[in-house]
Amino acid sequence: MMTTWRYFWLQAKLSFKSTQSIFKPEEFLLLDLGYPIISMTFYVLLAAYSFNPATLASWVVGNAFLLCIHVCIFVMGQAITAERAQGRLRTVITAPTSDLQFLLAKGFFPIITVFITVLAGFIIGSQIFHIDLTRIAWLPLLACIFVGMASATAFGLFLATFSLITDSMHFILNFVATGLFILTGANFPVTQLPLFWRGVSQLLPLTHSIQAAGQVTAGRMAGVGWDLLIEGGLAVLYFCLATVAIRMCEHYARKHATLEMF
Amino acid sequence: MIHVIWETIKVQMKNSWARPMFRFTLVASPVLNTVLIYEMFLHSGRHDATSYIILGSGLMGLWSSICFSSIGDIARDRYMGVLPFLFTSPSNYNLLIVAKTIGNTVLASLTLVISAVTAAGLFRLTLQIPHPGLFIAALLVTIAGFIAISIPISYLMLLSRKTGLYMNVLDIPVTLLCGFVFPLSMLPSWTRPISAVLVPTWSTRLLQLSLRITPDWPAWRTTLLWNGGLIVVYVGLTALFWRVIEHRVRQQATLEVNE
Repeated sequence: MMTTWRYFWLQAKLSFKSTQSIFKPEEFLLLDLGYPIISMTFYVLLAAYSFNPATLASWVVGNAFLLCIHVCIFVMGQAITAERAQGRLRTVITAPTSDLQFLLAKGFFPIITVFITVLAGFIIGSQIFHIDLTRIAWLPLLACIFVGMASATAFGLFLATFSLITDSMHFILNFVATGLFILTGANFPVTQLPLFWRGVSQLLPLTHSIQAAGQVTAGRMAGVGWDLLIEGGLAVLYFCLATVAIRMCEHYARKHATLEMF
Repeated sequence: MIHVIWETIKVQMKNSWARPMFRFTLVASPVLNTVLIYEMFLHSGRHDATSYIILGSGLMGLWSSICFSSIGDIARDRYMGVLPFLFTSPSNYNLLIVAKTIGNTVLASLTLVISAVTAAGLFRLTLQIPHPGLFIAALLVTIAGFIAISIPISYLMLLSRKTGLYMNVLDIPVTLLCGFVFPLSMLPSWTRPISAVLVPTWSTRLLQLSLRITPDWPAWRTTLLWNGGLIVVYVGLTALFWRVIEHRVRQQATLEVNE
């Protein structure tokens, strides 16, 4: 058990170091904080112009949550693709360590970073768009962020497994990421969507945590527990799906000898 | 020379289309952006909503394609090991970059068509173009402006191995600062000078002016002058960057290895 944890920690540390060491601190801040906040500002300003609402709180909350997409969808989703590009995929697949553990280790530090990004994004966004933070119950809000990040990470893990059978991950991940902007209710109410897509939105990560965080920010607690429970359930569901999918995709890739080329 | 340009344009278009990310920015991104912006403007009652939905999402796709293709091409050439060959080939490297950028931008301008088709197909929303001649002229100036801005940025990328970072970081800020999907009056006044030196700001304005039933000729003249002036400035910057960067990468041997 100790060995497993030691390997997990080592993999997590090495992976984070390998991706971030080329950046200077100011570049790291630009990519992990500056850019996400500019991105959030863009969508909130678009909402300010198109909806002209009395308060922009729900857009700040929703888009702060969507800041996790960079890590939870792109970093997690491209974990296998990056290993393939560096010629390490065969070693990873044949190593005694489980593939899922390897992927989780790769996401460990980025997820801590993204938790801070989402929180900082929310606070900075609130300052920019004059949102009253004094009424907010911080503990439930932190719980919303934590559960939301967990389900988005599990979803990213699930998507990552498809890297073993396709070379179009950039397309898939960008498609899904933009889909989340449309379907999670961060930028407009999901009730505007056609019935089918409304159903899909309920099965996607972040929809329920954004809804719960919106309630918490408005000083209401009705339905928050239920939304968090569903979001937590989705995290477990996507993690289970990832566990099954990675076995199936690995089996397919081994059988068709398509681990490294298509 | 014409032959080199034409062949490079063809190869670039084929190479770009072969990449899933380019296919995303060219086809999927304008469709999804049109849906997102349409839903956001659905109950806005704004008279300019249609132009922001169709032109805005098209321009977003066009700029994304440039960020993830023209600007990232040098990094890709470096990664695939062809950068030194292109750099030292008898065909002028500037010519190759210009041709590659033309290929990308012309192909990427299809995003405007895809946005228009999506809006018409899904939401029965059409852009009223009262003066097609003016609109086509504005479109040509827009394409020229986007080509002009992407070349000096690509040259700057010769100095860095972190192109991936910069091409991601340039996408949304330019969309925000150039008023693709909302007027610049939404932004704080200190951002105006930055918007003013970016040619897509003036291209967007020119496209919007071309949709007016009664042409505002004085505004057209001013906007056209800004477009032309900035294109000339970018061409000057390209020449300057080329002299400085070429000297630097040769002197320091940093064409393929950078900090």
